[in-house]
Amino acid sequence: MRAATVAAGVVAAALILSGCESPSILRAEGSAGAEIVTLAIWVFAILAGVLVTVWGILVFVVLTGRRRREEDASRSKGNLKIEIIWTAIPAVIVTVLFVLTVVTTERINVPKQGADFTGIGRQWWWDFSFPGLGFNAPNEVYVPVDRQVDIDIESSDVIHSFWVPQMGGKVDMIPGHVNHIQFVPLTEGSYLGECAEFCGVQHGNMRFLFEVVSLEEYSEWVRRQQEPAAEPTGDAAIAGRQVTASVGCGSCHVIRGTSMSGTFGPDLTHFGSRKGIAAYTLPNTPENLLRWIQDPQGVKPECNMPNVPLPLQQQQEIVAYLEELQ
Amino acid sequence: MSEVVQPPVTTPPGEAPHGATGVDHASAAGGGIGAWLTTTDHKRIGLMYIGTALAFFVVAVVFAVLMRTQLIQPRMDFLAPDTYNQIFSMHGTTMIFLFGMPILIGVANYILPLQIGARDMAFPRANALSYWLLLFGGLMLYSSFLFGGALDTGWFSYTPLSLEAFSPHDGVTFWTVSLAILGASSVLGSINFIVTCLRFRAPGMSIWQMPLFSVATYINSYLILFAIPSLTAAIALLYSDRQFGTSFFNPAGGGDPIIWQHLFWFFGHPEVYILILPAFGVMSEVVPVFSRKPLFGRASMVVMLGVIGFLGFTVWAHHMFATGLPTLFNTIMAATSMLIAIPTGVKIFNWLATMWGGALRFTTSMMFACGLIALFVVGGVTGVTLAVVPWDWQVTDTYYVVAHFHNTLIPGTVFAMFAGIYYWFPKMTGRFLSERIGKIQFWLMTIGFLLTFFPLYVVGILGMPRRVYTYDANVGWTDLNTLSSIGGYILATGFLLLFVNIFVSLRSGKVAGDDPWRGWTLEWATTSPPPHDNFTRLPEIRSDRPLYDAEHGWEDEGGRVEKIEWHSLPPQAEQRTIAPFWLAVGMLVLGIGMLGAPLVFIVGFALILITVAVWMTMPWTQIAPTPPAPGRELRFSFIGLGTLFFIGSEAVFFASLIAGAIHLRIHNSLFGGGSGVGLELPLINTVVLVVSGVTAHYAQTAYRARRKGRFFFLLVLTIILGVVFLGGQAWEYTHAGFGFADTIITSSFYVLTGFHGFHVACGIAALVYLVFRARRDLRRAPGERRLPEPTPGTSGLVDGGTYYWHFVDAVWVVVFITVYLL
Repeated sequence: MRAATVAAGVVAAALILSGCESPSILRAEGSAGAEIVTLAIWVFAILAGVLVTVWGILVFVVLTGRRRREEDASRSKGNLKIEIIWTAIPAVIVTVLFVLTVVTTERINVPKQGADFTGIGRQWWWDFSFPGLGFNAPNEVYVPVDRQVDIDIESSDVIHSFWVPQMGGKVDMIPGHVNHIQFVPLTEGSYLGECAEFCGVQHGNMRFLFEVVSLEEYSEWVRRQQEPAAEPTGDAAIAGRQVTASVGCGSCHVIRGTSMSGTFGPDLTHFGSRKGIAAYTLPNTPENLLRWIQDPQGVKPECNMPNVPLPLQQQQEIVAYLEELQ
Repeated sequence: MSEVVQPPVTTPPGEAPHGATGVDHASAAGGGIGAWLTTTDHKRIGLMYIGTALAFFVVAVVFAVLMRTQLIQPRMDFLAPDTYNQIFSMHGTTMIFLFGMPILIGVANYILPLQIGARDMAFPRANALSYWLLLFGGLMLYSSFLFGGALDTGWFSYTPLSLEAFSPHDGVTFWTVSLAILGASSVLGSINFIVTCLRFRAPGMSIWQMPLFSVATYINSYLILFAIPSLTAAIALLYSDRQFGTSFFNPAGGGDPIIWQHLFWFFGHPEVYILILPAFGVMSEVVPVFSRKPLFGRASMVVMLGVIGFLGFTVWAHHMFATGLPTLFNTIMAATSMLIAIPTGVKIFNWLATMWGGALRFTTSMMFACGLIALFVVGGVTGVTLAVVPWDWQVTDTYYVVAHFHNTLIPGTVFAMFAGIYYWFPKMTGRFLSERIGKIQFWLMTIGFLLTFFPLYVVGILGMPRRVYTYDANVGWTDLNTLSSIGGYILATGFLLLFVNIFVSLRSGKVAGDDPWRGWTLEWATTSPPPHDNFTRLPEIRSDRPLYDAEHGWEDEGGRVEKIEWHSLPPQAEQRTIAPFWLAVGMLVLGIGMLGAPLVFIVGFALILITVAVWMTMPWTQIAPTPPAPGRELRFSFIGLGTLFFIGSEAVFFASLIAGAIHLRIHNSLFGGGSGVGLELPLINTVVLVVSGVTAHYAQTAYRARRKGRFFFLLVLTIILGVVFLGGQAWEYTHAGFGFADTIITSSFYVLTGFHGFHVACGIAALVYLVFRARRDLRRAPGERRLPEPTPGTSGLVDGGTYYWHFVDAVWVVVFITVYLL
């Protein structure tokens, strides 16, 4: 068994090495994810034993049987004793796996402490709603390290699935249902979250960032999110606010502290502070933002943001304004 | 295949020539298209199934290649996102419904009657109908590409994504209607297989002595029979939501999308065993023959097939571990899912034990069988990991799952099918497939499979969700995807070499003879290809290896060796009819009408009525069932038996609808309360229908007692009561204070009573037909005062009609309780 564990460890290490930049579930930084990695090592070690046994027998049988003459072939039609044995062995293995499953499930299903916030799936972005604190943080959410995070999971249109691979486990976001997930983030860092249930054309571009930070940073983030939008300072940004309001962005988007109050699209109050654009389809840089505003249907085909033809200058002003919304 | 040289039919010594009877055994192989349109020969139908399945296979492989090309590098612009979504949805739907099932059913169609020594399937015309429904269902599904786009919501089309609000073009509607047609085809086919196995085996062959491939198909038919109706119920509700604006799956209207998942996976999980059990059957034919040993542990092999089939119905929610079901429910489903590893493991060990001590012959067929053992266990093992609930929470809906099920389907179903094709091709055509191309194919497929799917396991663990049309360069998935795509091209090349091999071998393959592999089952006791009535002679059957016994003699317990006798069989004429073809055309037209063209719908309905009417004038029994062993009474005629299995399938359909309705009541904390016109009418209606059940029963008794007047009186009375019931229901519909789509409760009222009413109408039509049928039988015997002696044909019809009527009765009681009382 120890050898098998070591072997599984080697395989796991190989996987980790091959995915040093990826949101690998084996590089777990959340309590549930870590439990699952431990479970997986045991499960795969046991099952690797099964594979090696079957392959070993197959190789032996092929090597010994290939030159045998028909007259020398055995005439055996069965052997009850041996058949009982190889029914019992898988039964024992399965029982062990079942016990491991139940134990780990219990360890992951810690009692919930009431939701910290609600994650809402939308086609094709994420809304994180903090009703008690009075703000919505689309596509990027901060949580404090080493404290249990409790999330209510909902959807406003089709089924999505909430998944931060390195935190552990996924929970489907089903319209008409409220699901729940809880775990303890163990290490500070920026983790990729993904939609895991096929939800339509742009399922592939529905990501978010799950930011695990110190308690101080978290408090600071909450404080900033609660504030209304910053006043623009540069000339272009001031003009950008005018343009943004006049071309109808407010029918879908809200920027708290301005006349824009739409709820269909993501809240843009603190857009400039975020790392991604359009549910992390693009990194948030002025160049990317300009590209996005010019041609959302080219960047993310069939998304719900329409192409609005505007002169280049106005587009640049919008970019200047949004990037100032820290 | 008409250019195939046919070996002469060998007439066993002492048998009279057939010329005198005007009917002979020789294959009625006319090459004309008419011969194919009108055939009821299970072998021709099997070939059509196989050909159609392979054609769809090519399309679905091309789709896979397109997908892998889109994913070969990050942020590729090879396919537009919506195109990609249509392609992966149609890839899955095609592989399952238009390749996987049809190829298994096609091979079984050809081989099963031969293996059990039957002259044809139990219902040859229904068999032809099954095929035509498959073809037209498939063509209809594909025609959606021409009308605004194909299915783009994945092969399990989760609601509410598949509702009109989120998938407005008609792809999903095409899919629902096509799947209903394909489902009808499968259910019809499964009844045919079951009755064939129960009543048409060669004299002396017990059901336990059927060859393993036939056993697997037989058990599989039960899975199809009881799984498909759950899908039919789900797609009926989805269709209703899309076309009539009901809200079964729409939370805004009180519906619940999770019902779809329960109904779909109650079908969907047995479906994956439907795709693997016949493959296990093929394995259990190929491995013993090429090990020159009897199958090891035959009894447990049969039992384990049954166990897998049964467990397959108890594990559906393991597809739903992430949907927030109660922990206890998840745990139970985890346990049942893991249990399946036991019978599957036993099967693997038994194949290995069959090879142990054998004289192995590495034909292409055997190589595919060994490849299956080596690689299928990996898929089985990763399947067990998916039953480990917490692990499933991480890897479900990632490429790990994609890798897992392809790992069971390619080195499982596909390898076994290739083993079967290489094994039985000589029987079907008289020529071998090229072994050289075969071995190249095997290695290309094995290497291609490993290269395609092992990287996908890893990339799933590295966090790549399935069904994404592209990915970013900075997440570390690029190299593995590139590798997988290259593997995909190799795999596709391996697959497609089969067509080269078929093409080459049909022209210049080595001539095979009757029993090229020295097999022991009955399909090798006839010519290659067999005559249209399959056999000129059959041996006495003592064991599961009749040809081994025929060669070596039968050794009894005392060690005395007894020579096995051969019996010659009378030739049997092939009956041809175009009716199944036109009935399937009618279903197609009806289906097109269901996409929103009421006139077309009516034309289709009329075409169906006319075809059914013509069909009904034909003699019912084409081939006679095997007489029971002396001293055994059969409780049911074979037609009655077929009806009973059909009823079982219908029962699952109603159970699915009722379970859905009850779920919605609980979900919304609502009560039914019927139509609002009070309980009196429905109560009277209930009494009427129950009484009609009694009259139907006594009509059947009277028929068996050959009492003419009583039979007609009671049957007509039953019909009148049925009409009264429908009249009452029509009155209730016109006086109900609500419409179909008003609320979730009104929608379930109309769906449950409506589907029941439709079944009553069908039952009445069947009873009316029985009246005419019995009158015609009487006219043919002028002067006869009593009904004719019960024959397998007509008395079976009376049985079938009355059983069906009892079923309609029983369903009403449950519907009544659900709709009016709960």
